[in-house]
Amino acid sequence: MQVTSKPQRWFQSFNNVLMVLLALICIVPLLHVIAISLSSSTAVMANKVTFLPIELNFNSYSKALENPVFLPSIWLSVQRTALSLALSLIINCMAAYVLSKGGGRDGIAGYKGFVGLFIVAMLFNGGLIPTYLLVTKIGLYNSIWALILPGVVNVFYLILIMNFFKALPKEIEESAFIDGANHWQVFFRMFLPLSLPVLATVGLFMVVNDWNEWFMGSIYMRGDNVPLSTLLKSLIAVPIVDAGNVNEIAKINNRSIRAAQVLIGALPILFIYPVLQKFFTAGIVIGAVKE
Amino acid sequence: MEMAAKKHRGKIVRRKDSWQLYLMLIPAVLLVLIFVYMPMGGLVMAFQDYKPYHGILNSDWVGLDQFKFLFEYPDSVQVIWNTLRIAVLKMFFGFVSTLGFALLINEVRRKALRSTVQTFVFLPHFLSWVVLGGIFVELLNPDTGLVNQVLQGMGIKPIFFLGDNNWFLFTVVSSEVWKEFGYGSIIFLAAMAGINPALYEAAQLDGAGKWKQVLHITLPSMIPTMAVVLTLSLSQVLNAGFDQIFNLYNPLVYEKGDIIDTFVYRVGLIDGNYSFSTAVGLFKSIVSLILIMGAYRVAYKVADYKIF
Amino acid sequence: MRNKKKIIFTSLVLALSFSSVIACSNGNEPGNTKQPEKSAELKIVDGKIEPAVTITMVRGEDPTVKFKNGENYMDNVHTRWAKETLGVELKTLWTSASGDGSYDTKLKLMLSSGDKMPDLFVANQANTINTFIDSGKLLDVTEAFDKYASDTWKAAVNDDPTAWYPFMKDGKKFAIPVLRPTMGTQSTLWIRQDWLDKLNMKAPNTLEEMEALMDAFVNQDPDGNGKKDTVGLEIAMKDQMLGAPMGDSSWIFGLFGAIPERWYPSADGNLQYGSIQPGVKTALGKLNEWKNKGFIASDIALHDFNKVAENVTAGKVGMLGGESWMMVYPGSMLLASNPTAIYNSYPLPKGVNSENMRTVGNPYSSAILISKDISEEALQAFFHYQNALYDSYISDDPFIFKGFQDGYDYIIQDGKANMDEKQIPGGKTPTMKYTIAGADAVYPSKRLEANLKMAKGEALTNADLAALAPTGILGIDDTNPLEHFTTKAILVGTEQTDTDVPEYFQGPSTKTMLSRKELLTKMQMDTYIEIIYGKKPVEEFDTFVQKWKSSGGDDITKEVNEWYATVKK
Repeated sequence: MQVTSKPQRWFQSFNNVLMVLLALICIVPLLHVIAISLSSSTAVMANKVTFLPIELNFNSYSKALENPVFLPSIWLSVQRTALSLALSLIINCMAAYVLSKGGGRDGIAGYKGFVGLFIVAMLFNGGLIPTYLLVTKIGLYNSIWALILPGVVNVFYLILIMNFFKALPKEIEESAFIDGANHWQVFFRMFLPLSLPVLATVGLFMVVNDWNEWFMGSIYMRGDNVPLSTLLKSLIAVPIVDAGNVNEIAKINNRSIRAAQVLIGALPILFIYPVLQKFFTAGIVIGAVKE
Repeated sequence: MEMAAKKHRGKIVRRKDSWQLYLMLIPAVLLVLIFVYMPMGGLVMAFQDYKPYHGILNSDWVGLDQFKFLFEYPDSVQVIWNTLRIAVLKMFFGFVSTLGFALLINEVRRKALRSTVQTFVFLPHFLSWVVLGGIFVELLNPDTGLVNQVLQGMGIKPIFFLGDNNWFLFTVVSSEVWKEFGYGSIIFLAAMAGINPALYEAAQLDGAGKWKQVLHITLPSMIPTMAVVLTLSLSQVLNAGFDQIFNLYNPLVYEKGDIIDTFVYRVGLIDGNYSFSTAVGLFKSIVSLILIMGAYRVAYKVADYKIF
Repeated sequence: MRNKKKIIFTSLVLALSFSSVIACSNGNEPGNTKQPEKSAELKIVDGKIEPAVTITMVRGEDPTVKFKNGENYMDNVHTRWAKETLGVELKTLWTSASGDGSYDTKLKLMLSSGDKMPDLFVANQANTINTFIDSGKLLDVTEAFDKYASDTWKAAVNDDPTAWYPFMKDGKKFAIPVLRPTMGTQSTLWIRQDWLDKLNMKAPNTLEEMEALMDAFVNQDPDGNGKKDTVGLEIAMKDQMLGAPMGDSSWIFGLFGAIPERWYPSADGNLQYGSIQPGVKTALGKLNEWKNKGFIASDIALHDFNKVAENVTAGKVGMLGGESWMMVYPGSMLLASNPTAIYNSYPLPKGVNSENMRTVGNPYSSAILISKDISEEALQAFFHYQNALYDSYISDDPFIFKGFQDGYDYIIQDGKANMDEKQIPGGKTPTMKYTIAGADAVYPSKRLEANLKMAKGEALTNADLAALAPTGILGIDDTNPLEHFTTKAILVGTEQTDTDVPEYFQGPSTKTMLSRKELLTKMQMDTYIEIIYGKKPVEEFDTFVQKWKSSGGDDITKEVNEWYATVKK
């Protein structure tokens, strides 16, 4: 236990209060959204709902549930997110490991070329039409791989991981090589375990992005085989109101469904974040290796 | 190592197991070549008057007409300038708030408080602007909105946050900062988690206080991460956040609130014009590339750090 | 440095070489498709084609469509009926959500990729339809419609032949309009009846009376909550002045003799653009005055249709212009929280020169696009199907579509139709949305006749009931009293049809529109809103008009009139 001086204790208390305030201004709107998702259309439309649901009901959730595609779409989303996470992590980490070696004696020829290739890939893209043509021509239309493969390599994460790798102490790696380890062993046994915080971060970002990404689902998949994000998006996309659909419109509450959509989008963090949180505690990494 | 390599240009003797490295790189390179570079041929649409039924091969070539349209449009200077202003403000305050929060939460000693706060501040990231838009319009209503009622209680005249150009800017930037600071801070928390605790122990023995530890250990150790985050955020310098602006703007704030993406959207409404939006996208990509190259050189010259 | 250039160069070469792969895949040239072969007439036995003919289609998913019993677009009570009764098999190849634009994106991607087109599909976005018309892949339906459409269907379209205009190119018809009733799309003045009664006031007949009423609605606390939180008049004007079915602004400008954002004939017979007419200037001055007096909301610039619906539901709105179904939505929501809160529809008050103007909707809601490659059998089968749906207008049988409606739109109990939501097993599901058009077959004048009879409380004949049959409505639905308000509003609307201004320009965007329309619209909204908010003087309107004309507006006017000359006979 370290000694704390009086000004430090003051700072601690002040900081704690500040953090609680920040947490509050972040959670309050979410409570509002939860209340909206559970309230009656009338109350929501009249802007009566603040933090407590009025005329509690689960219509916005059952509106999604009653769709026969709902359960399959959750399953598709789960599969997509899991596969995508596994592939993305391993592929980006491997590439990051290689690039972190640079172009010198320990690295690879054409280093700069590869870096350029990735940077350009991060900034430029061909746009919707050519990408769609490609995905369909190589036979991925309506396949789960159409939702995964185009997004596997993420250059931002790649560079982030690579910089983390570069910051790892050189000595550990060198002694391993002297002991006769090869690149695979160093990568899997040393680099990955030493990078848990950044892997947790990137992994979390990936899960959240894949869970919420809806556009690919709407373009590359058939209407009856879409991920949850796409399904929810189509539920809230209400056409222009006219005499032909007004009776149905009066029964759907767009804002409640949107709120439900938001909450379902936040689900992964509720499941995954508690697991990951311990990786963000200072000192964990080096400590783990020392043992 | 770099220096050595430079001296023997082209004659570097590499480790004999370096083939393993190529193997490890292949999957990423292949995926990028297939899913990013193959469709990239579509960028030629920016120089065409693309018609879906003609396809890329048979659409008419129009040279730089799409770009001319963008730059010669009477409002384009205003719109590009607005985009830059909003994006840079968001970038700056986003960076400061994210880093600041990460440093402060790291000082919280109570574990339960710490993890609760961390979880809560991530949540606004999940609220889409379509949902938030409605909430903000209501909250900021000049007569009945909660914010203005509080202000009135304090004797301040009601402010039309979404109807005044400068207040609009303020609202857009601060709400974005609020929405994203928690989520963005994860990267910095991860960087801090990677700092060797031995460094802090040594500093304490030398009698360095908290503030000095932050200044001399925490911040310097995070420079690589900060450099990466800042440099790569430059790719967003012409993206001011379409969803947010689109849900909050109105004719009263066109002067400072209308951005490239909302402009492209309105043009697209008249005639879904693929070529024009491709040209605008290409323009943004080129600007980002130049900026990132520049930042890379600056980081290298000033901090002697190569982010890639 | 040299290295970097090399990288970029190499990347470009790579990209271009790969791109050829993409480009090649789009080999389907327009123009080399062949006309459908003419073949023998279909064999029709008792209204049924033998053997059944398949029509392939794709369709946009409408989120307001309901299914039950595990049915979907591909297979439902209607598709089974069509096959069993008409011998027409509707085969849906794929569906895609329409509200978020992905259906239209997919249609254009279908065109880009050169994929085979379905026999037919429905589209409602002008720029999608125009893209297909320009592609040369659509059938010129002029001849087929003349030859195969029934007299009833033809007569229905002839109620307003301008319904063809948006789908015509070089005098040929490239899509068949899906008709919709225009009567009821015009604004009537909806007033909170309970407030009116409480303040002991009358519906306004003149502009002055209307202002007095707004004043009362704002300053006399009509909702009795002790707060000054009500507005006299609600208008939707975010992004554009027209287009919101509730909170319509056209009739307000119309009180001063102009309608912005609309093309209509001037005294010399040519089309003029409403946004630059002098009447708008007066109207803007008035709106500024109302804004200052608090008659309209202080954040009115942010109000769109949804916001209007919210404010109505929140019980803050005294008056607004809106379509006939106002009390169904958002009225029913208001009613749910306040059972005495009722809006009644009234005729518009007299304008400044005793003139009125207001917009009326287009006579079509979407269009059926038919592929050039459709087989002759499928084409005839389509008309056979569509003619059968229009047969209700020459029938005396209210249950003409019982085959697919019974048990969905209503159930038959003791020989009478029961439309009560709660009585129908599995809930009421409107089957008209399962049809190819995704909407009921409309014969506007016959439908209006039946509606007016309902509004006046006259007895409906079997023929009237049959005319209503396509919608799945069989007479007055006592379980849904709000429908009374709708039919009543249609009746009120018919009293002022001489004030209706349809959109006269129905052509594709002109050349100058493509390059300048965004600029002109932004300029207009900027000027209008700033005048309403008093940030600019009313005189700024004159500057706007000059700038509008010189920035491409005059060219657009010319182009619009060139188009008008091709349809005006």
